Amino acid sequence: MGYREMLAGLREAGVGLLVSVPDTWMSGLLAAADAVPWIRHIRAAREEEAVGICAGYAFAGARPALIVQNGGLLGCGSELVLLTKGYRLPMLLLVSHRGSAGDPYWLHVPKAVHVVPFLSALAVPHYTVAELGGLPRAVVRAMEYAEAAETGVALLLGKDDLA
Amino acid sequence: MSTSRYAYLEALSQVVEEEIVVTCLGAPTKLWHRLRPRDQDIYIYDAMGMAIPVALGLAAAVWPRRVLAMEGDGALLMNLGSLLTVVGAGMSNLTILLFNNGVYESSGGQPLPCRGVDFAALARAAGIPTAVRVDSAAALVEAVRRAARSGMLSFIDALTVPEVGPPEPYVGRPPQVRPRFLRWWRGARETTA
Repeated sequence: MGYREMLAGLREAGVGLLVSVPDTWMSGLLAAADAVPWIRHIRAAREEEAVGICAGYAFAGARPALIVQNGGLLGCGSELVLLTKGYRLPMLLLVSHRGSAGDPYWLHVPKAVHVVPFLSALAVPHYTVAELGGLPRAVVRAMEYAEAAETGVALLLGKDDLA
Repeated sequence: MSTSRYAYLEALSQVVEEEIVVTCLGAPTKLWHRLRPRDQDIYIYDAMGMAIPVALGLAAAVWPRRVLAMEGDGALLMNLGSLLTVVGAGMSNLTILLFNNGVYESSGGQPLPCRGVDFAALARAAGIPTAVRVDSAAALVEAVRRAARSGMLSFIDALTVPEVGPPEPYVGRPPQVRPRFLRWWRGARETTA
């Protein structure tokens, strides 16, 4: 089960806080996170404030992960630039990559098409799970890279990664 | 209703000890840095509406140490949902101090879309039953002390007046904040361990 491997990766990576705005694909991961005692889960009202909550956690040297849909991340440009980049705050951005080749639904396609150049324009490193060696290793590698580069690092998640 | 923000902050600077303060953009960051420069505080220079979310995340990381978030009313309007998020998160070690002057002061004093909002009532409706409104420095100090004693999520709506004037430069830069805070925080944890 992808979300269980994802959760195992979060534990191995030392992530202590999940901040989420939900997406259908994320349901299993969020329910599983609520069932374990070693990670705190905060539900945010909007994606921008979710970035802010992760930023606050990172100020103290702790490791946060943001869970959002790619469409929500598109609204976070200011916070990614002013907080994550400006203060050099590492955080893991777990992004359900709706509308990608494995999810050819017209409603979501514009998000997939635009979120990759959006992240590139903000100099936010971004990878697929396969590019970082599959789960759970990809989560650990992305978090370690976020620490080394002092930035947010996005992991673009397909439906199978979260099944 | 005539208490200046400077008067509020000056009074606060004489009583805040244990709390970690998260300032908001504009005058609160500039004045707090001048009145009470401390390594243990987080200065938000530009991310408008982010002081409360940042303080919430910090409160999760440093629990049970108390975190005091300063925010302006215009900034809160950008992120009004954050009042519900902090309630849902259940972090009891957070105090929110709102400076309520009815204008966007940093950009020249333009009025908010709607003036005269009772933010304490909004906070109570969101689920912070102890939310209060204050209009004097003495009342603010008492409210901050009461919040710390209560061990509960707290909200203080501080009525103040616009103070639009020549811009004062910021001291420091964002990349300096985290390394400085981490040095303090690691030392503070060793002291209490």
